[in-house]
Amino acid sequence: MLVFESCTAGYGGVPVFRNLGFSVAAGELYAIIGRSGCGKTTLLSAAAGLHRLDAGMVLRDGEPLLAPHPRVGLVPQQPGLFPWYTVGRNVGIGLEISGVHRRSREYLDRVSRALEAVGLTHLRARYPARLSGGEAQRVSLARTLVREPDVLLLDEPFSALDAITREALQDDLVNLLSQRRLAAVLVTHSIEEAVFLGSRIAIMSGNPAGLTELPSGPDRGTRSWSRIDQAYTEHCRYVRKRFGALHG
Amino acid sequence: MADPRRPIARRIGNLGSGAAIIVGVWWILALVMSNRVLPPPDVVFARVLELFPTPLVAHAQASLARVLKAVGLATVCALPLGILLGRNRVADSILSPAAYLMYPVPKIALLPIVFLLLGVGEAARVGIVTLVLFFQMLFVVRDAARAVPASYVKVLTGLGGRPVHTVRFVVLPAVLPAILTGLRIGIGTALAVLFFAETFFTRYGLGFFIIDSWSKVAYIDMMAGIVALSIVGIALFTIVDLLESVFVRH
Repeated sequence: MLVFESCTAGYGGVPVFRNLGFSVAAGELYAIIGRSGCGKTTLLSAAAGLHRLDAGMVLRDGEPLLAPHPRVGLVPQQPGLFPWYTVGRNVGIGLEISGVHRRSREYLDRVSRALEAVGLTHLRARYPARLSGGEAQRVSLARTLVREPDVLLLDEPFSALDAITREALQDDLVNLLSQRRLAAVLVTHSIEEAVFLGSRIAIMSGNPAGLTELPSGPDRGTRSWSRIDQAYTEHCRYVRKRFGALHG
Repeated sequence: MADPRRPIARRIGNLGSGAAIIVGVWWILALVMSNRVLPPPDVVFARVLELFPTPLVAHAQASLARVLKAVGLATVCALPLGILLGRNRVADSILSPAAYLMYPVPKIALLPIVFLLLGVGEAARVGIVTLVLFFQMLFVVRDAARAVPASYVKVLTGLGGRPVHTVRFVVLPAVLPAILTGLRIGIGTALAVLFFAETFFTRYGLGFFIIDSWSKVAYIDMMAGIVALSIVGIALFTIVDLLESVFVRH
């Protein structure tokens, strides 16, 4: 579904990462853990068609992603909601860009479905200034889902949230991904988040950065573990150990 | 959704208390000075009622029409240019220095040139007020367009937005409050310039009415004209506030 092929990118001729390659199938979430500045966001931006790679390419169903694609959704670290539009209009903005009329039945239905998916139907007429951090991030997710993507790129979407809200959103995301069979890439600096959400986990390290894929934890195909499972905490410990070893 | 009537009701209350203070001070000054140059408010208000609707309404209409035309023209010119300067570094580096040098030039000093270039009709009076408003609005729009967070543009681009979408969905809504601020700041200066411009080559407008009354030593009429001009200014400010409460809800 989504293939990163020998991807190299940098700024001002200095490579940030080099020769990164992996693939993500439908229903999988590929979690990449890395420290700030290692190029995680640049990698996702390249997949979103917002950053040109110096070498290599990102392919969706065999087609290179060179510009933003309607079926590839990016959920940024900061929700970036437009304060002058209501929640409903923020969610539907991608449809307006695609030429779907704001008063059409299709527009209204798709915005309703996206808001329903994130449990925010009741906030449709509210302005972003009156949303909590968790609600704003849910709106950001709905804005991506409204375009019905089959690839989801998650750029540390929960990093600015408090622990309780973060865990609630992680649970919702697990349900959403399994329902919709999306291919997803998550970049994060949280080992617990990567282990909880990721069906596969890789560590991004080095200068320029490379990827080290770790063995999957037990039962990852079913996404069945909870945060108090021993298997989960043990796998977090294992990933932490490998992360420490790779970063010296 | 904010109820636009609430701010208006509060504003009317505030205007009422402000007007009471001004009239009170005016009354005291009129009593203390006891000079026919400064007639007391009751006499002036009675004269305003006598001059209403004829001829005061015709003069007020002429002034208001000139200001509104100037507001429209200044907005049409300053909005796209301000957005261009705010969002395009090349255009900004070429054009902003010239605009920066022109900004502090008192536009009223350009009145003779405007009369010579545009003739002595309406175009010149609207033109000089447009000049005043244009520079006020140009800089606030440019600064607001420049201050649009890059994250908003990135979000829109990620959703497939092209530059035209960025302007429509991000830049225009972001600069709208700045346009209204520019108007609010500019209206006071624009009325002062209009007042002066209406003293030449016209028989309509509150500027003409005030100066004409002054030259006839009709001080009560002169004060009535000043009151009418103040009402026009307050009406324009209120329109801007109303637009803000309707369009800037966030």
